Formats: sequence, C-alpha cells, structure tokens
Amino acid sequence: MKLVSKKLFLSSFVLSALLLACIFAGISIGSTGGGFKWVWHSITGQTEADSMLNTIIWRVRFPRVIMAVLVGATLSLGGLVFQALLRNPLAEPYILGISGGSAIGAIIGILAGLSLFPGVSFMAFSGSIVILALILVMSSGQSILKKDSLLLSGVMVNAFCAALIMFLISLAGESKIHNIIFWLMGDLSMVEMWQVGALALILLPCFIIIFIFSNSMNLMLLGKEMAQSMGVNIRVVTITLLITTSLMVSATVSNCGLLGFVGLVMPHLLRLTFGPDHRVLVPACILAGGAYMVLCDLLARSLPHQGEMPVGVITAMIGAPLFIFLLKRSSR
Amino acid sequence: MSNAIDIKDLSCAYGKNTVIRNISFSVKAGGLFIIIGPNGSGKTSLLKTISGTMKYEKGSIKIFDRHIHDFSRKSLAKAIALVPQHVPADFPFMVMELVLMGRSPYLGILGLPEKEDFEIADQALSFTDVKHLCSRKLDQLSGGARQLVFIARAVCQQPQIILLDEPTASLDLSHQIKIMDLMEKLVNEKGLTVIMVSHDINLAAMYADTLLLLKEGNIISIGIPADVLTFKLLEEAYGCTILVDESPLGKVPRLTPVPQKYIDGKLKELV
Repeated sequence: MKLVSKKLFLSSFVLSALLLACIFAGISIGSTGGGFKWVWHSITGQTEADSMLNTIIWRVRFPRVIMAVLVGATLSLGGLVFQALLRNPLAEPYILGISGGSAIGAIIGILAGLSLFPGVSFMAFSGSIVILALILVMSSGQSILKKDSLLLSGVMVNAFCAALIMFLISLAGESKIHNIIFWLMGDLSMVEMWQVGALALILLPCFIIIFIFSNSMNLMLLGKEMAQSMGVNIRVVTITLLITTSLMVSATVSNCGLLGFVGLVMPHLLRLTFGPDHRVLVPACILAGGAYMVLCDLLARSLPHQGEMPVGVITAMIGAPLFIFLLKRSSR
Repeated sequence: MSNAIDIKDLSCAYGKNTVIRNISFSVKAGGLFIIIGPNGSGKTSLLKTISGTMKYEKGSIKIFDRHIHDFSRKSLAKAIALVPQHVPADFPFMVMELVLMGRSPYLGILGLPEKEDFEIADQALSFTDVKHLCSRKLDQLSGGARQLVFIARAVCQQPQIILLDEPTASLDLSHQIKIMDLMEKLVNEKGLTVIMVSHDINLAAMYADTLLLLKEGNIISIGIPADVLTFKLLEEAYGCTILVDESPLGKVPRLTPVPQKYIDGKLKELV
C-alpha cells in the first residue's frame, strides 16, 4: 500500500505538469494567433520583446490565464471543503448559494461606485458570510444537512439571491447593465496583472490553511464524536474552514462573477483517480481545478466564430449534467 | 489498584432535558464494565460524557485521578478511545488507512504516519483478527467485520480505556460472541479498562466484571452480574417481568423476559 506522502508527491508532480501544459496552451492559442512555437521562442528570448504579438501574449492572455488558474483552484477547493464538512457529495459554493451571496454584495458595491479593492471585495465577502450564516442557522441541530433538504434550501437561497440580483440590476443605469450581466455570467476577459497579484495574495494563505486542516477533514468524515475522541477540535476546524472558504470564494466572485458547478467536477474526478484522502485531494484540487478552468476559458474564447462567450456558460454546461448524474447515483 | 474513572455527583442534559441525574460511581482499572438499562436511561449520554465529547452540567469526572478538564484534547485521546454506536457505513477509505487514523493523537496536524505507526496498526489488525481485510475498502465490509475494524482503530490509538456504544447491536450471534471475546482479551492481555453500553443483558451477564443498571438517569444498581440481575431490580428498571435463573454455563444469571400471554397463568407456577 502506498504511503500518503508518496501519493501526494506523485499526484502533485503529474498535475503540476498538466497545469503547466494547460497554461502553455492557454497563452499560445488565441484569435490574434501565436501558437506554441512563438510562445516558446518568446519565453526563451528569441523574439523581439516589444512586438505586438508579445504584448498580447504577456499583457492580455497571460493575466487572463493565471486568473483562470486561481479561480478554478479556488472553486474546486471550495467544493471539496464543503463536501467534506457538510458530508454531502453535492455541496458546492454555487449550489449552496455562497457564490450568490457574494454576487449580491459585489453588485451593491459596484452600484455604490466602490473600487474593486477593497470596497467591492469586502462587500462580496460580507454577502457570502451572511449566506453562510443563514445556511448554518437553518442547519443547526436539524436534518437539513441531509442531501435533499440541503439542496432544497440551496435552491431557495439561490432563487432569493437571483431575485435580489435582478432587483439590483433593474436599479442600475443603462451603461452599467451590460457590464454587470457579463460579469455575472462569469467573465475572465478584461483582467489586469495587478488584479491577479492581489487575488493571489488573498488566496495563497487560504490554500495553506486548508491544507493544514486536510487531515482533520479526513477524521471528520468519521463523524463528530469519533473525530473529537481522536483529538480533533471540531469547532475550531469547522469555523476556520468555513470562513476561509467563504473568503476565497467571495474574492474570486468579486473578480470574475458567478461560475457555477466548478466545485463539483474536479473533486469528484480526483476522488475517483486518487482516492478519498484530503491530504492528497487538497493540492490536487488546486492544481487540477486551475487546469480545468484554463481549458474551459480556452473553449469559451475559441468556440464562437466571432468574439467570445462567458466562461460561466461552459462550466455550467459541463457541470450541470454531472450534478444530475451525481444526484441520481447518490439517491440509489 | 487505582480507579480508571471516578464520577462524582454528575448531571448532564440535552438543553432542558436532564438525562443524567446526580450520579456517582467508580470504574476499577482493568476490567469489563457494562452499562445497561432501558431506552432513554442515559447510557449513551454517560458514555459520551466520559469520552469528553459531551459537556456536563455539574459534578466531576476523574480519569486515573486526573480531572477530565485538565486533559488537552490530544492527551485525552491518548487515554480514552471511543467506538460510537453509529459508525459511518459509507466511509470511503481502506481498512489500513482507517486503523492508522487511530494514531492521529500521536502525530502532527497532517497525521503523516511513521514506520512505527504502521507496525502498531498492523498489530491492532492482527489483535482483532481482521488483518486479511487490510487493503479492502471499508464500504465493502459486512457489519460484523466493520465493527471489528473500528475496534482495531480504537486499539491502535493505544488508550488505557476503550469506550464502546452497543458494539454488538444488529450483529449475528457469532459476531456478538467474537466481539465480546475480544473485549475480554483486551482486558486480560492488554490490561485495558473496557466500558461499554449494551442492550443485550444476557451477553452482558456472561462477560461483565461489573454491571451498572441505569433508569431515567439514576443508578438502580451497580455490582457483579449476580447482584444486579435480580427479578426485583430488573422489574424496577425495565417495568416488565423478567425471570432470572442460572445459565447452563453455570454461575451466570440467565434472563427470560416474559411475554404478556404467559403472565397470568403459567408465570404463577414458575415464580
């Protein structure tokens, strides 16, 4: 039987290679051209540094691809954490309404004319915490953590969020509507490097915190009592993980809007590949989630003949059928 | 010999619902201590309170003469292991991985096991006679095998006290005996103190060094099985007629709950 550390090393190595390959593809392919050869020459310094194509590759595509990596990693990891804490294979930030809550906060921020950082980000975080609190209050001591009731409450929270978002949009001026709607559908275009840097600064500590508690998540799958009797401080672990996850999700939502079902695809695929150990799954989700989102974004900008579609369309098209499949399988 | 557990004036409650009412007793170190009583008598709550997973209202609990609040979570986990009533059936890990989790109080936050931990887990699996299942997935096991694996996890935790909540519930007769024999082996070979809750009084009578009979959070009786399992005390606790005679094994009380249809006619002749 394989040691955890060996498995961790092996999976991280393979998935890092995959992620790098996806990033390479992501910055090579685009409507203005380029291709793998050009990017390779550009990296090794064999092209003119100030050529048009170089500018597009490094100023437009590169930040966008790195943003996709961060967002995919965060949402996949968010799905993994919620699935472990709520012991529900269908839990995911978007389905639970955490993303919706962040979106409401963010839109209020945008309408109030706040800057993206810290104003809109802070509003998004507040929105996600309100929804998180709502879910926890509804679930305290109740059976709502069971599959069906959790889903139903999620659907309702989402419906409520959607109504609020529509209400807020109806208040918005003509000029802002297009921006808000496009952003809502999940949008990775118009990303700038400073934005990516700021997001990375928020996300990296969150990733580390979640990895530190990865073994506690394993033990908590055994139930509250057994985990506690093996020395896990359930309260501290749960609260830290929930707040950390909400923080990361709201940070990505305020940057690129609502991307649904991302937290469903990667955790399930990786569990099938690498087994149930969270010490392996947390890094795997970060790497593979990033790669997945880069590929989705690549599809979103290369599928349409003209222009591009929001990447949220792609993630929902892949994720929603998977969700239905999982729902059917888990109810057996 | 010192006591494994000393409980004094203990009360605990779920919200406003008091489940343990001001009870005091001690558990001798190195023995099989079985808690019995009707549904809702507070057996499980008592076990949870001793394991430190449920808070209590008042009184004190001492583990080997040390107050339970003076233990850190990890040091308590090194002293006491718990096998709850409901173990998850869909736990996706392999048997070996689960048993290794018993080492977590001794390991860092990431719980990365050393060579020594593998050896301890190996021994625990052999001890409970499930070594051959070591690379099976937990959700593929039968109820009896699963229970043995969860006990192996508790053994791997190397505690001085093991608490079990109805470990034989819904198992077939051969697994019931197997598990109870194992409990006896834990006491005799490892010198552990085993405290368990059981609904099967006949089984408890055959194995227990000490029985604790609870009703509505009060102690009805505590002592060796022959003293606790009497017609009068059982009727008081369970509110039904239970005949007690000697088992064919000798010197062990055997209980027969009496169905309603026998109560008027035949019972009078018997009593």
